[in-house]
Amino acid sequence: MKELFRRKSLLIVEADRLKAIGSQSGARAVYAEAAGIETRIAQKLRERGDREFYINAFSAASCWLEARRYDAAAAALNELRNVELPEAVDAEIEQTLGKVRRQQQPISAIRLLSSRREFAACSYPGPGDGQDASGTGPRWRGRPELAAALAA
Amino acid sequence: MLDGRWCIRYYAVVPMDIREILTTHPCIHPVVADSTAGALAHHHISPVELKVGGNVVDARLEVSWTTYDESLHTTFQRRDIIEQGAIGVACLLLASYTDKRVTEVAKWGERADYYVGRSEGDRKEMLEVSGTDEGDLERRTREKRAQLLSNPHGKSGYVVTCRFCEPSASFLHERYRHERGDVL
Repeated sequence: MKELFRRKSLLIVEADRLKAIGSQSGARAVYAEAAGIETRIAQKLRERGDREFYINAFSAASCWLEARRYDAAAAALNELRNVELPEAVDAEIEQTLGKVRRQQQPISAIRLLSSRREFAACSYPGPGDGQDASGTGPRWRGRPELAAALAA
Repeated sequence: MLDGRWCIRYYAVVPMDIREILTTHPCIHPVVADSTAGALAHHHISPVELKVGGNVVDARLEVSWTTYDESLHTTFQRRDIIEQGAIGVACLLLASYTDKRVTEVAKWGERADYYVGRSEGDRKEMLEVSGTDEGDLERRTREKRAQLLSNPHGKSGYVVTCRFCEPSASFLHERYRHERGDVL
Protein backbone atom coordinates (compact mmCIF):
# COMPACT_ATOMS: atom_id res chain seq x y z
CA MET A 1 0.00 0.00 0.00
CA LYS A 2 2.79 2.42 0.88
CA GLU A 3 4.22 2.06 -2.60
CA LEU A 4 0.79 2.62 -4.17
CA PHE A 5 0.35 5.83 -2.14
CA ARG A 6 3.79 7.04 -3.14
CA ARG A 7 3.43 6.13 -6.81
CA LYS A 8 0.03 7.72 -7.36
CA SER A 9 1.13 10.88 -5.52
CA LEU A 10 4.09 11.22 -7.87
CA LEU A 11 1.90 10.47 -10.90
CA ILE A 12 -0.66 13.15 -9.99
CA VAL A 13 2.05 15.80 -9.68
CA GLU A 14 3.65 14.56 -12.91
CA ALA A 15 0.31 14.73 -14.74
CA ASP A 16 -0.33 18.25 -13.42
CA ARG A 17 3.18 19.18 -14.58
CA LEU A 18 2.56 17.80 -18.09
CA LYS A 19 -0.77 19.63 -18.25
CA ALA A 20 0.94 22.88 -17.21
CA ILE A 21 3.50 22.62 -20.00
CA GLY A 22 0.81 21.85 -22.58
CA SER A 23 1.45 18.15 -23.12
CA GLN A 24 -2.23 17.22 -23.11
CA SER A 25 -1.96 13.66 -24.44
CA GLY A 26 0.92 12.86 -22.07
CA ALA A 27 -1.02 14.31 -19.13
CA ARG A 28 -4.11 12.26 -19.98
CA ALA A 29 -2.12 9.01 -20.05
CA VAL A 30 -0.53 9.74 -16.66
CA TYR A 31 -3.86 10.80 -15.12
CA ALA A 32 -5.36 7.51 -16.34
CA GLU A 33 -2.55 5.53 -14.68
CA ALA A 34 -3.02 7.49 -11.43
CA ALA A 35 -6.79 6.90 -11.60
CA GLY A 36 -6.24 3.15 -11.84
CA ILE A 37 -4.03 3.18 -8.72
CA GLU A 38 -6.47 5.42 -6.82
CA THR A 39 -9.27 2.97 -7.63
CA ARG A 40 -7.19 0.08 -6.25
CA ILE A 41 -6.33 2.02 -3.10
CA ALA A 42 -9.99 2.97 -2.57
CA GLN A 43 -11.04 -0.68 -2.93
CA LYS A 44 -8.41 -1.87 -0.46
CA LEU A 45 -9.29 0.84 2.08
CA ARG A 46 -13.00 0.06 1.75
CA GLU A 47 -12.33 -3.64 2.36
CA ARG A 48 -10.44 -2.66 5.52
CA GLY A 49 -13.38 -0.57 6.68
CA ASP A 50 -11.51 2.74 6.34
CA ARG A 51 -14.22 5.43 6.09
CA GLU A 52 -11.90 7.72 4.17
CA PHE A 53 -11.71 5.46 1.12
CA TYR A 54 -13.90 8.08 -0.56
CA ILE A 55 -10.90 10.45 -0.79
CA ASN A 56 -9.16 8.03 -3.14
CA ALA A 57 -12.37 7.12 -4.98
CA PHE A 58 -13.06 10.81 -5.62
CA SER A 59 -9.43 11.33 -6.62
CA ALA A 60 -9.82 8.44 -9.09
CA ALA A 61 -12.93 10.12 -10.55
CA SER A 62 -11.09 13.46 -10.79
CA CYS A 63 -8.19 11.76 -12.58
CA TRP A 64 -10.55 9.91 -14.98
CA LEU A 65 -12.16 13.26 -15.75
CA GLU A 66 -8.76 14.81 -16.50
CA ALA A 67 -7.96 11.77 -18.67
CA ARG A 68 -11.26 12.39 -20.52
CA ARG A 69 -12.50 8.95 -19.54
CA TYR A 70 -15.95 10.25 -18.74
CA ASP A 71 -17.67 6.88 -18.39
CA ALA A 72 -15.11 5.73 -15.81
CA ALA A 73 -15.41 9.06 -13.95
CA ALA A 74 -19.21 8.79 -13.88
CA ALA A 75 -19.03 5.18 -12.66
CA ALA A 76 -16.67 6.12 -9.81
CA LEU A 77 -18.87 9.05 -8.76
CA ASN A 78 -22.12 7.08 -9.03
CA GLU A 79 -20.66 4.43 -6.75
CA LEU A 80 -19.90 7.14 -4.16
CA ARG A 81 -23.51 8.36 -4.28
CA ASN A 82 -24.56 5.15 -2.53
CA VAL A 83 -22.23 5.81 0.41
CA GLU A 84 -22.96 7.90 3.48
CA LEU A 85 -20.50 10.79 3.30
CA PRO A 86 -20.04 14.25 4.79
CA GLU A 87 -22.59 16.69 3.37
CA ALA A 88 -19.92 18.87 1.77
CA VAL A 89 -18.44 15.84 0.01
CA ASP A 90 -21.88 14.82 -1.29
CA ALA A 91 -22.28 18.30 -2.73
CA GLU A 92 -18.92 18.08 -4.50
CA ILE A 93 -19.79 14.66 -5.90
CA GLU A 94 -23.03 16.00 -7.38
CA GLN A 95 -21.23 19.04 -8.76
CA THR A 96 -18.51 16.91 -10.37
CA LEU A 97 -21.07 14.45 -11.72
CA GLY A 98 -22.86 17.35 -13.39
CA LYS A 99 -19.57 18.38 -14.97
CA VAL A 100 -18.92 14.83 -16.20
CA ARG A 101 -22.43 14.64 -17.71
CA ARG A 102 -21.93 17.93 -19.52
CA GLN A 103 -18.70 16.53 -20.97
CA GLN A 104 -20.45 13.30 -21.91
CA GLN A 105 -23.30 15.07 -23.75
CA PRO A 106 -21.43 15.94 -26.95
CA ILE A 107 -20.22 12.33 -27.24
CA SER A 108 -23.74 11.02 -26.66
CA ALA A 109 -25.05 13.45 -29.28
CA ILE A 110 -22.52 12.22 -31.84
CA ARG A 111 -23.50 8.61 -31.09
CA LEU A 112 -27.20 9.45 -31.49
CA LEU A 113 -26.71 11.34 -34.72
CA SER A 114 -24.42 8.65 -36.13
CA SER A 115 -27.11 6.06 -35.51
CA ARG A 116 -29.50 8.00 -37.76
CA ARG A 117 -29.32 7.36 -41.49
CA GLU A 118 -29.33 11.00 -42.50
CA PHE A 119 -26.45 11.91 -40.18
CA ALA A 120 -24.35 8.75 -40.38
CA ALA A 121 -20.71 9.70 -40.63
CA CYS A 122 -19.28 6.29 -41.41
CA SER A 123 -20.39 3.32 -43.39
CA TYR A 124 -20.66 -0.40 -43.00
CA PRO A 125 -22.05 -3.08 -45.34
CA GLY A 126 -25.50 -2.42 -46.72
CA PRO A 127 -27.35 -2.20 -50.05
CA GLY A 128 -25.94 1.26 -50.71
CA ASP A 129 -29.21 2.57 -52.00
CA GLY A 130 -29.85 4.91 -49.13
CA GLN A 131 -32.98 2.98 -48.19
CA ASP A 132 -31.42 1.15 -45.29
CA ALA A 133 -29.80 2.67 -42.22
CA SER A 134 -26.67 0.67 -42.96
CA GLY A 135 -26.34 1.73 -46.58
CA THR A 136 -24.49 4.98 -46.59
CA GLY A 137 -21.01 4.35 -47.91
CA PRO A 138 -20.00 4.96 -51.49
CA ARG A 139 -17.79 1.85 -51.36
CA TRP A 140 -20.87 -0.34 -51.17
CA ARG A 141 -23.00 1.53 -53.66
CA GLY A 142 -21.31 -0.13 -56.58
CA ARG A 143 -21.33 -3.59 -54.99
CA PRO A 144 -24.93 -4.27 -53.94
CA GLU A 145 -24.47 -8.06 -54.19
CA LEU A 146 -21.51 -7.98 -51.81
CA ALA A 147 -23.35 -5.70 -49.43
CA ALA A 148 -26.37 -7.97 -49.45
CA ALA A 149 -24.21 -11.04 -48.80
CA LEU A 150 -22.45 -9.40 -45.89
CA ALA A 151 -25.68 -8.04 -44.46
CA ALA A 152 -27.20 -11.52 -44.59
CA MET B 1 2.82 34.53 21.56
CA LEU B 2 1.30 34.88 18.09
CA ASP B 3 -2.38 34.72 17.12
CA GLY B 4 -3.25 34.10 20.76
CA ARG B 5 -1.25 30.87 20.81
CA TRP B 6 2.22 29.96 21.93
CA CYS B 7 4.75 29.18 19.27
CA ILE B 8 8.34 28.02 19.36
CA ARG B 9 11.00 30.69 18.87
CA TYR B 10 14.25 29.55 17.32
CA TYR B 11 17.20 31.87 17.84
CA ALA B 12 19.58 29.72 15.81
CA VAL B 13 19.41 29.66 12.02
CA VAL B 14 18.45 26.14 10.93
CA PRO B 15 20.26 25.06 7.75
CA MET B 16 18.35 23.02 5.18
CA ASP B 17 19.31 21.86 1.69
CA ILE B 18 16.48 21.86 -0.83
CA ARG B 19 17.28 18.30 -1.97
CA GLU B 20 16.27 17.13 1.49
CA ILE B 21 12.68 17.71 0.42
CA LEU B 22 12.88 14.49 -1.56
CA THR B 23 14.42 12.37 1.20
CA THR B 24 12.10 13.64 3.92
CA HIS B 25 8.96 13.58 1.77
CA PRO B 26 8.96 10.45 -0.45
CA CYS B 27 5.57 11.37 -1.95
CA ILE B 28 6.93 14.62 -3.36
CA HIS B 29 7.86 14.81 -7.05
CA PRO B 30 11.44 15.97 -7.88
CA VAL B 31 10.02 18.92 -9.85
CA VAL B 32 9.00 20.44 -6.50
CA ALA B 33 12.63 20.59 -5.32
CA ASP B 34 13.75 22.06 -8.64
CA SER B 35 10.97 24.63 -8.58
CA THR B 36 11.83 25.69 -5.02
CA ALA B 37 15.44 26.31 -6.04
CA GLY B 38 14.27 27.98 -9.28
CA ALA B 39 11.83 30.28 -7.46
CA LEU B 40 14.55 31.42 -5.05
CA ALA B 41 17.38 31.53 -7.62
CA HIS B 42 15.35 34.02 -9.66
CA HIS B 43 16.09 36.60 -6.92
CA HIS B 44 18.94 35.24 -4.80
CA ILE B 45 22.07 33.15 -4.69
CA SER B 46 22.39 30.18 -2.35
CA PRO B 47 22.14 30.18 0.66
CA VAL B 48 19.13 32.31 1.51
CA GLU B 49 17.80 33.14 4.96
CA LEU B 50 14.05 32.59 5.05
CA LYS B 51 12.22 34.52 7.75
CA VAL B 52 9.47 32.29 9.17
CA GLY B 53 6.53 33.61 11.19
CA GLY B 54 3.10 32.37 12.17
CA ASN B 55 1.72 30.33 15.05
CA VAL B 56 4.04 27.31 14.67
CA VAL B 57 7.46 28.90 14.85
CA ASP B 58 9.19 32.25 14.83
CA ALA B 59 12.49 31.38 13.22
CA ARG B 60 15.00 31.79 10.46
CA LEU B 61 15.68 28.94 8.06
CA GLU B 62 18.80 28.91 5.94
CA VAL B 63 17.84 27.39 2.61
CA SER B 64 20.60 26.24 0.29
CA TRP B 65 20.84 24.53 -3.07
CA THR B 66 23.64 23.50 -5.37
CA THR B 67 22.16 22.68 -8.76
CA TYR B 68 18.68 22.39 -10.18
CA ASP B 69 17.09 21.77 -13.56
CA GLU B 70 17.31 25.27 -15.04
CA SER B 71 15.24 24.23 -18.07
CA LEU B 72 12.18 24.66 -15.90
CA HIS B 73 12.45 28.42 -16.49
CA THR B 74 11.84 27.86 -20.20
CA THR B 75 9.23 25.10 -19.90
CA PHE B 76 7.05 26.43 -17.07
CA GLN B 77 5.30 29.72 -16.58
CA ARG B 78 6.65 31.67 -13.62
CA ARG B 79 3.40 31.25 -11.65
CA ASP B 80 3.70 27.44 -11.95
CA ILE B 81 7.29 27.55 -10.65
CA ILE B 82 6.19 29.73 -7.73
CA GLU B 83 3.26 27.45 -6.92
CA GLN B 84 5.47 24.34 -6.90
CA GLY B 85 8.23 26.23 -5.09
CA ALA B 86 5.80 27.15 -2.31
CA ILE B 87 5.02 23.45 -1.84
CA GLY B 88 8.77 22.87 -1.50
CA VAL B 89 9.01 25.59 1.16
CA ALA B 90 6.11 23.96 3.03
CA CYS B 91 7.95 20.62 2.92
CA LEU B 92 11.11 22.26 4.30
CA LEU B 93 9.16 23.88 7.14
CA LEU B 94 7.35 20.66 8.04
CA ALA B 95 10.62 18.72 8.06
CA SER B 96 12.49 21.39 10.04
CA TYR B 97 9.97 22.28 12.74
CA THR B 98 7.49 19.39 13.05
CA ASP B 99 7.57 15.60 13.09
CA LYS B 100 5.12 15.49 10.17
CA ARG B 101 5.51 14.96 6.45
CA VAL B 102 3.48 15.23 3.26
CA THR B 103 2.14 11.68 3.11
CA GLU B 104 -0.13 11.79 0.09
CA VAL B 105 -1.19 13.85 -2.90
CA ALA B 106 -4.75 13.31 -4.11
CA LYS B 107 -6.75 14.91 -6.87
CA TRP B 108 -9.87 16.73 -5.72
CA GLY B 109 -11.66 18.24 -8.67
CA GLU B 110 -9.14 20.34 -10.56
CA ARG B 111 -6.77 20.86 -7.67
CA ALA B 112 -4.24 18.63 -5.95
CA ASP B 113 -4.75 18.14 -2.22
CA TYR B 114 -1.77 17.53 0.05
CA TYR B 115 -2.19 15.38 3.15
CA VAL B 116 0.11 15.53 6.16
CA GLY B 117 0.84 12.93 8.81
CA ARG B 118 3.54 11.13 10.74
CA SER B 119 3.91 8.13 8.43
CA GLU B 120 2.89 7.10 4.93
CA GLY B 121 -0.84 6.52 4.65
CA ASP B 122 -1.49 8.83 7.64
CA ARG B 123 -3.65 11.68 6.39
CA LYS B 124 -4.94 13.15 9.57
CA GLU B 125 -4.23 16.70 8.44
CA MET B 126 -4.08 18.74 5.25
CA LEU B 127 -1.75 21.33 3.82
CA GLU B 128 -2.74 24.54 2.03
CA VAL B 129 0.01 26.40 0.24
CA SER B 130 0.40 29.62 -1.70
CA GLY B 131 3.43 31.46 -3.02
CA THR B 132 4.18 34.81 -4.56
CA ASP B 133 7.21 36.67 -5.87
CA GLU B 134 6.43 39.96 -4.15
CA GLY B 135 2.69 40.04 -3.51
CA ASP B 136 0.71 40.55 -0.33
CA LEU B 137 1.44 37.65 2.02
CA GLU B 138 -1.19 38.54 4.62
CA ARG B 139 -4.05 38.45 2.15
CA ARG B 140 -2.89 35.10 0.76
CA THR B 141 -2.57 33.72 4.27
CA ARG B 142 -6.15 34.78 5.11
CA GLU B 143 -7.46 33.21 1.89
CA LYS B 144 -5.61 29.94 2.37
CA ARG B 145 -6.60 29.74 6.03
CA ALA B 146 -10.24 30.13 5.03
CA GLN B 147 -9.75 27.49 2.33
CA LEU B 148 -8.24 25.02 4.79
CA LEU B 149 -10.98 25.60 7.34
CA SER B 150 -13.68 24.96 4.75
CA ASN B 151 -12.27 21.66 3.51
CA PRO B 152 -15.05 19.10 3.00
CA HIS B 153 -13.32 16.39 5.07
CA GLY B 154 -13.36 18.36 8.33
CA LYS B 155 -9.60 18.06 8.72
CA SER B 156 -7.24 20.38 10.55
CA GLY B 157 -3.91 21.23 9.01
CA TYR B 158 -1.16 23.61 8.06
CA VAL B 159 -1.17 26.78 6.01
CA VAL B 160 2.09 27.89 4.41
CA THR B 161 2.36 31.06 2.38
CA CYS B 162 5.69 32.36 1.17
CA ARG B 163 7.26 35.22 -0.70
CA PHE B 164 10.39 34.62 -2.74
CA CYS B 165 11.61 38.18 -3.47
CA GLU B 166 12.12 39.04 0.21
CA PRO B 167 12.38 35.45 1.44
CA SER B 168 9.72 35.05 4.09
CA ALA B 169 7.03 32.56 5.00
CA SER B 170 4.00 32.31 7.21
CA PHE B 171 3.59 28.90 8.86
CA LEU B 172 0.25 28.30 10.59
CA HIS B 173 -1.38 25.29 12.18
CA GLU B 174 -5.16 25.57 12.19
CA ARG B 175 -7.79 23.41 13.79
CA TYR B 176 -10.98 22.66 11.95
CA ARG B 177 -14.20 24.18 13.33
CA HIS B 178 -15.40 21.21 15.37
CA GLU B 179 -11.94 20.68 16.86
CA ARG B 180 -11.33 24.26 17.95
CA GLY B 181 -11.49 24.79 21.65
CA ASP B 182 -9.46 21.63 22.19
CA VAL B 183 -6.24 21.99 24.14
CA LEU B 184 -3.38 22.51 21.72
